[in-house]
Amino acid sequence: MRVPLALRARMLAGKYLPFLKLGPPTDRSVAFRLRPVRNSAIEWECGEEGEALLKVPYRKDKLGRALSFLVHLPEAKAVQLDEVGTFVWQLCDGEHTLEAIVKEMSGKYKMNRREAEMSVTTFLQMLSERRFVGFYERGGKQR
Amino acid sequence: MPVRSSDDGNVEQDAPQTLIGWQGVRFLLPPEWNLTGFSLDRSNGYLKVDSPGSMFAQVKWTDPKYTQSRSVAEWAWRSWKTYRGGGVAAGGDPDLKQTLDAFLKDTAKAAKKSRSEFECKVKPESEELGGQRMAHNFSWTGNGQGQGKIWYCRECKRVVIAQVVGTARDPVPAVASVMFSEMRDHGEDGWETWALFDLVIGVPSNFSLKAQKLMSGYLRLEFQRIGGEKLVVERWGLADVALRRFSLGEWFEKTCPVRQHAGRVAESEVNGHKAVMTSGSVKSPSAWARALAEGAATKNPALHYEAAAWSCPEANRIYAVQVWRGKQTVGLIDEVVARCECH
Repeated sequence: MRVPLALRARMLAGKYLPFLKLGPPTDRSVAFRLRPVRNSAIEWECGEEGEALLKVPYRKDKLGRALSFLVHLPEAKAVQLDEVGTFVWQLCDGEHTLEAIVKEMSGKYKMNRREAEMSVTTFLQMLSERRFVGFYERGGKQR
Repeated sequence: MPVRSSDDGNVEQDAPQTLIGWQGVRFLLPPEWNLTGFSLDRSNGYLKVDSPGSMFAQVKWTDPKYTQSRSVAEWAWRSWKTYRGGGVAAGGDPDLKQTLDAFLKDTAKAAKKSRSEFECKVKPESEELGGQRMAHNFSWTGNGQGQGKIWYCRECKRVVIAQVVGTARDPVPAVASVMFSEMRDHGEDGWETWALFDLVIGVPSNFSLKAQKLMSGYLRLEFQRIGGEKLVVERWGLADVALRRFSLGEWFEKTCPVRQHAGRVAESEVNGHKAVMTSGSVKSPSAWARALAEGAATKNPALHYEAAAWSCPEANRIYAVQVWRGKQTVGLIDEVVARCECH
């Protein structure tokens, strides 16, 4: 899943020049309708303790190939998620909205709604910055 | 009248409620409303509680006698006004109407910015709680709608303005009626309720909040009173995950300074849950010197350490209370633990 260059430039401008108001939607209700979806290039499996191990492939474009020519790079880097992270990762299937994930999280771990909201959004933001997940709005555009 | 505000703006009756308690101010709101803004100051402060939708509740309090001056001229003007009795009514109560007018003027400014027509109604002053406080009820429409109340409490000597704000479709009057019916601005019997994010504890009124950490899954409130006696209340979420690899005793020793105070962990019971407790004394020479210096005025230096922790499976949380107390203060930890509602 590649994020178009124009969209990436827009996101960067929005992040570092907030007065341009180009960032992701700030309206809660709009943000909570978004559906996170896992990057299909990432392979993952659950271990015996129920914690997911992600295998994130290195880039295969010209720069990636040049880098691998100069330095030996493995095929993929491994990222280990904890139990709660794995729970959220499994729900990033493109079917669950952010709102649904927050509800499931607060139900399963008996968390306060606000706390679950903060945990889920911070975690998904982190995954999104590393391009492990993307967001889309049903009937709308990919974000 | 218990209410629950749903996302579509309807109001459901007889629903559970959220208790909010901060700096002596406590009130009830519909479930899933949570604290989002606060100040640490007891004399002049504010509190903001957001709903999952578009409504929010706001409380501001000021102590008219302890308003800080930003310049010498302002200080001189305030002193002159106090000397002449300006700003304070004949009975010694501050002029609520003047404060409310200033508050509504700010709200009207915000409405003007959004090009909405601003209208407000202020009800005449009424006596509440057996003459303990004089209050004005007010409501406004403009950039949304709001219902509020301003009063001066003769006991805690604070002017409090509280309001519920929402859009035109939100059940603001129902939420405001619940909030104001049970609203209190000071504690009772020397104890104050602190309630936020499902943590409800009682703390003696003479302890003041020194520090806080409100993180997702971890809350810490640190109180101190004159003489250096300290009280720390902590709450962790995801207890089932945290206690999968450690026993409660091991976890307690890792997170609380048990060994530092040469305490021995003993098993106990709190609110029907398995708990661990410890007691010891301050060992480090620097901490000892600090405690002696701070406790010199009260002749009761906080050299004794007590702590208790328990896990509540119903709420999936771990609670810990730590006390640094003087020799003469006995039973403080037991009283605080008994007033901590975990489920």
